[in-house]
Amino acid sequence: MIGCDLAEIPDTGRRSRLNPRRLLKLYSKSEIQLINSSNCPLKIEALLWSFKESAYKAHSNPPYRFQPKMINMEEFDVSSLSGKIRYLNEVFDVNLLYSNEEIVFSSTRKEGYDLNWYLGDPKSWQQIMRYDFGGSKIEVEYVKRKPHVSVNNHRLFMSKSSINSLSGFVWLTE
Amino acid sequence: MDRQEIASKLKEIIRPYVPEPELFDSIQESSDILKDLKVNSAHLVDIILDAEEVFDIEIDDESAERMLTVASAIDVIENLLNR
Repeated sequence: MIGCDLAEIPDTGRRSRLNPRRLLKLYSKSEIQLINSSNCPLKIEALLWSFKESAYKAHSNPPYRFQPKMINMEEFDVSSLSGKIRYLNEVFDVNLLYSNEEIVFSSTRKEGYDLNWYLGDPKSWQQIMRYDFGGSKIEVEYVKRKPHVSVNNHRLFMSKSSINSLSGFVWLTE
Repeated sequence: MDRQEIASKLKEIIRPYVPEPELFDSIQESSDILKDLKVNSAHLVDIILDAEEVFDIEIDDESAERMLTVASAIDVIENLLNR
């Protein structure tokens, strides 16, 4: 399976996203170290969270439970902001697809996943043509019944896509 | 603290994380915090941390993973308070 997720970077909540108690609830020791050693800890925190979310969406049979520490970064390359993440018995390749000052947008695919697979009923894609998230507008334009995604009018290259079971769109660059 | 009091305090904890007032107005014990109240999953941990502060309890990971509905969150808090 493949998945994607989008997370906000600005720290606008009542509690800082870098609050130590909060980090301990969501991340492993090595993930917390990654965040705290970064020059842009808020961006890395948002990225790790989006990786975990996208891995959850990409999992073939995810339990409906809040268990973020069960989704673990096993490898992380700081220069490319990509890596491998494990959730239960499945391993996923994760990478940053797009970011600006407001958001990170990540994609995930299961190791060895055949990118030529298309899942879901294309008719249901009509339900998800626009998506607002934290002031960023994501638009899905359909070309020959395949979605092309833009974030704040920035067109993202996309040739393979799918719909996931959580009603969100999931997709992956080649 | 009885279940009704826990529910009342928990709802006030959840309130700021519900994006639409009408969704909060419809809150019930059976409400799913993510699906029905549309709380961003990244904020579920804030609800758990707020609950720890308000009820002066420590919610471990095993308990936290069950806190996806209002009822199950009340159950977790009630059990921890009664220990």
